[in-house]
Amino acid sequence: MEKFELIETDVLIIGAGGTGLRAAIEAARYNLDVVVVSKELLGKAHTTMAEGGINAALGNVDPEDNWKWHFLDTVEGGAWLNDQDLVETLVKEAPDRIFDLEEFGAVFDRLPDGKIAQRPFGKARYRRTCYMSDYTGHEVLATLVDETRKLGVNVFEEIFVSKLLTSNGRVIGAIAIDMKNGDFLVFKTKAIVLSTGGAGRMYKVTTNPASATGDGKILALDAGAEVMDMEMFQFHPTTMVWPPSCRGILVTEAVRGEGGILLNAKGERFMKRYNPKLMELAGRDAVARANWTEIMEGRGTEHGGVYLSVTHLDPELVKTRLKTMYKQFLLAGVDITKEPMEVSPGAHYYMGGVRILNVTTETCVKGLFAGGEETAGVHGANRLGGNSLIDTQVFGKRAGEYAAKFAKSETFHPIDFKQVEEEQKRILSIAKEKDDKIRPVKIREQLSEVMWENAGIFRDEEKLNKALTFIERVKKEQLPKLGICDTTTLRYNKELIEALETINLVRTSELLVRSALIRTESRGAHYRTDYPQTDNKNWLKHIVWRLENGVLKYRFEPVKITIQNPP
Amino acid sequence: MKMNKETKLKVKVFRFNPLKDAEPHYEEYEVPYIEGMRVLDVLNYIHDNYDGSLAYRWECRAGQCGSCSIMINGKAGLACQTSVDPETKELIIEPLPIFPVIRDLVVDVEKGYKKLLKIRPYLHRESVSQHPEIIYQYEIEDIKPMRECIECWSCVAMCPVVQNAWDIYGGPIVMTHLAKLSFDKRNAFDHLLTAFLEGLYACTQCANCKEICPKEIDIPEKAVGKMRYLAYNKRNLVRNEHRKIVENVRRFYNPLAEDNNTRADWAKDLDIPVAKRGAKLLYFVGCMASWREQRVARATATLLKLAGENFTVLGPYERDCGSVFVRLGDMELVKEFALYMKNIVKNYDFDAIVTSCAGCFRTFKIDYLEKLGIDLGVPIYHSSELFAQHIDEGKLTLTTKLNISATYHDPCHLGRHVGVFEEPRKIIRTIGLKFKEMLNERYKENSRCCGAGGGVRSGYRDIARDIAAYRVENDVPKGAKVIVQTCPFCYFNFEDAVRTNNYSVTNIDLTELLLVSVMGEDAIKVLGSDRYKEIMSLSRGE
Ligand SMILES: Cc1cc2nc3c(=O)[nH]c(=O)nc-3n(C[C@H](O)[C@H](O)[C@H](O)COP(=O)(O)OP(=O)(O)OC[C@H]3O[C@@H](n4cnc5c(N)ncnc54)[C@H](O)[C@@H]3O)c2cc1C
Ligand code: SF4
Ligand code: SF4
Ligand code: FES
Repeated sequence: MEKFELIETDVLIIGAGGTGLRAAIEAARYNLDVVVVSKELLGKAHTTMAEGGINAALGNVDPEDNWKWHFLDTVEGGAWLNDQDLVETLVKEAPDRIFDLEEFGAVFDRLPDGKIAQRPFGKARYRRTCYMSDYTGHEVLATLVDETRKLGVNVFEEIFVSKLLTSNGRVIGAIAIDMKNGDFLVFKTKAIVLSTGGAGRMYKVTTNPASATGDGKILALDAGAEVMDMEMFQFHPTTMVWPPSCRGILVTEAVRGEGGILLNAKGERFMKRYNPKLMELAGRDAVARANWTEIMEGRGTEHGGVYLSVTHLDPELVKTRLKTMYKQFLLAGVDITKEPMEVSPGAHYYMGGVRILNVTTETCVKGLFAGGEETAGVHGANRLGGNSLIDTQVFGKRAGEYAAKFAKSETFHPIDFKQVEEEQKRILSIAKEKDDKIRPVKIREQLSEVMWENAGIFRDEEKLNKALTFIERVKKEQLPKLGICDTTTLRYNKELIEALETINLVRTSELLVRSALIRTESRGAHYRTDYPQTDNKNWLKHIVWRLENGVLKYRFEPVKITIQNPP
Repeated sequence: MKMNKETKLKVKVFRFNPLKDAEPHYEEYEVPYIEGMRVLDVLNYIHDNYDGSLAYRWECRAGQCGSCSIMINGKAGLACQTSVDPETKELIIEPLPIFPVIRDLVVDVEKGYKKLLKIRPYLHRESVSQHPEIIYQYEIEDIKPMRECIECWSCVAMCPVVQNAWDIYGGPIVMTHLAKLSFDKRNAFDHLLTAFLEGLYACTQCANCKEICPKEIDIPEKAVGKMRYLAYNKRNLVRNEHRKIVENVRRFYNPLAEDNNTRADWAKDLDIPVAKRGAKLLYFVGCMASWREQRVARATATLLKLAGENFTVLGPYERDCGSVFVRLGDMELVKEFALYMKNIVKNYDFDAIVTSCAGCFRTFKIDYLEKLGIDLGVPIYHSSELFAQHIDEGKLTLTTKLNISATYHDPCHLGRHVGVFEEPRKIIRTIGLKFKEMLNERYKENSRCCGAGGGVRSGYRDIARDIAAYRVENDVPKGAKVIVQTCPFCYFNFEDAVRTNNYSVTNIDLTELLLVSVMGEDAIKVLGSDRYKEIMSLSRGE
């Protein structure tokens, strides 16, 4: 066995995004040892990129708004695939979580009466989205960072968790690499919160940061938990297309929320053909498909996008409320107060993920809790803008709370060092000198291309089969040869981490494609051109995966409908 | 932007694995340029195509996370937000200084975290508040920009005070966080006092940090400046050294505690108009040139005369410009001086003002207007601007070529803050100097502060001198014999560093050189024969 450092902590939180840090803050209340680990430096998680806002039915702008409308918008938006017990908790607890953030020091933009301002967002009946300019995610995460610093929560940065340790159907620890020096760490814990976020890096065009590689979903699966709705990946309608270096960078929904309009190359406001009622503020799935159709049918712009224009809005408003966008495009040579932006869809948010059994965020593995983009069920088949940040807060808090309570009632279990040794071997076999090595970047380039082309916005059986064949070939022929340039030292060996992430990406892609093949209907973000209808009779159910003796098995699980039946 | 598929970039990257390498080295790569390319794309290209072992950080590639800050051609910045200029001869990429290297471009920011945690960088609530909380938009306008900080550490890498005295000055990022908390009405903890203890008055307000902050946070003015204002006026948190200066100015109308009646003593033998009615141009000499660097005043006044300007100095009627008080936050005192100046300009009916000191220049030009709303109503020139114009118009003719290897220090108040970069360089070239820019790309916008500004010279003399010494040691090109100065304040501080450390380089004000170039040997009358001989012997390469 290779050397490793053993760290004991009551609760281990994997991920330092909005979910993980909120969980840590909560768990810290229980007088326990809490450790948070993350792949990147503190405060730099994906959550910091969120721009548009965070939803809570405060009713500050539209007094008619309340949790019931928020609920309805969310399940309608989610095409009725949401588990309604989760949604109910989300929308009911949302206002208190916003107030928590304020309590920790967050600053949201205000209304003239001094209350938090709220902007309209796609498919929301009322103005419900709280915001700080268009860097709300930064405000949320920076606030949580402040609070964790205040509470003195241990955050270990640049730690890559590669495997959860289990014993008799419960988690008892985790194995990780400390990227900074290449050392192995073994955590011995009573409870774990998984909050590792999304997996957008499966796709060539994505808004997601480098770390969104689906690690947590695979960690959970390998530990015996279930994942579901893996076919449900949201494509954001508006991401940058030009210059190439900016491809996929998000153009926030707030642009349309503030009044931005979509035009094709002919200058036609085409949304009136797709959704004359909601126009640009239709659901993300619908707008993404509309944009993609315009582009595919030859009405796209020079660089293969459609136009998104705010030139009719007050330039001062654009520069303040859409400050990030203004600067982002200016750097690319476009003054958005004068010229339209060129945009096209990009992979944005994973609705699928770890199955949590109920609102305590527990999974079917004892001691393992999960929240945020890690999980499935809250957003159904399509997430509403602004609902993810609030998800991180509501379920982050709950994950922290229940993990802590669980830890309180439990003792440490002895680590099975065979598991450690096996995992070390797996990792070191990648870091071995190989003549015919295949570098992770090569696999990723092809995978993300294949996924984009065949398992993207429009899917059909043929394309999905193509993707599956490719993935199976990669698994059989390429992953065994996975290798890296520098085999002499693990100190900040970025490529080793990339290799491990690549394996996770391939496996996540496989789950996505297999699920997409099984679901022979269209619902929310999952659009099958060969099955364009939504089939509520047969398909109000989740496709749920688990590993049985190393083999992927699926079953169906009915959607939890507790409040409102689909029409 | 030019579309050129063939362009290949030459990229030099810092490589170092402290576990294996005895010392760092640079590796060169050739990277094809594509339109709109950012430095992060260059690193990714190298990583993907040449060497997967290259260590660097990135996450969002959208300027939102602050992971990717590195040194790009001597300037700290975000790799993902820095466009590559295809015309660049060579792209040099290095890790942030100050922090120990983990590997290649990845540094360990632990030291920075310690500084940050020390100030308790979070809101302290007195009691749990009622919700919804009523907060008006105007109450958050000051803290909003501070809250934008993404902890990229670029500012810290660029701050001259951090480089030389991090133990005394917390650094720009620390000031940003302190400002965000000091300005927050919900906060119950005395972060202003913390700021004072963390060296609030040790910032030179050079804006080296602001220049590169990806969130464009105006740290010197909106964080440090505003906190100083509150500390000074509302809390009486002032350093004794500064108290003394304030007292001096109140009593003597100058910070040096000189008898203000002797302001124009330097002019006695030169036949320079003092408080002359009917003059159209006011030469505002400033305290340093009046008493400490009198050659600058003598050369400047003589040149103005030679150029045929109808000018005057004020002599005993010249009072402090108020610069130090702007930097300390004593706006009441500044206002007094600003109104006095406005009156003078009106009374004498001047058409324009020329200054020797970059500090006076900035104060008249920017601070009176922006901080007090007082407009002197006439154009303000720095002497280098005026003399460049005189040369152009043939009002000054150069007779003697000066063949000296020299470099030039851009004063912050003249260069980065106001944008006067070209005129001094034009004069330098015209008088024949063999001119080289400062090293490490530290010139023009990226010029490094001399260390004297912001009240640091008076408050922390050693720090100021050490910062100048650092610049002499690191930035002055090999072979340069002279640092050309255009601000008596910088001059004085550099001179202190040069004397203390016995450096072989000589500080000379631009006006002195120009005077010799115009007058030849006759300049002896103005500068004295020692100085003249010194300049000529430098010119002969001795
Ligand atoms: C550009 C952009 C804009 C968005 N705008 C909005 C918006 O306006 N409103 C909204 O509601 N939502 C928005 N979203 C979505 C939202 O930001 C994310 O879904 C949400 O932040 C996810 O938070 P999280 O805490 O679940 O995970 P993340 O913030 O993704 O955090 C994941 C954490 O897990 C860590 N991690 C991952 N794998 C490992 C591993 N193997 N070992 C150790 N640590 C690991 C990571 O390092 C990271 O710290 C946006 C998303 C993007 C990309
Ligand atoms: S203004 Fe200059 S001295 Fe002050 S914090 Fe910025 S870089 Fe440092
Ligand atoms: S103040 Fe600006 S430069 Fe400094 S760390 Fe913050 S964002 Fe970076
Ligand atoms: S990668 Fe996030 S700021 Fe550059």
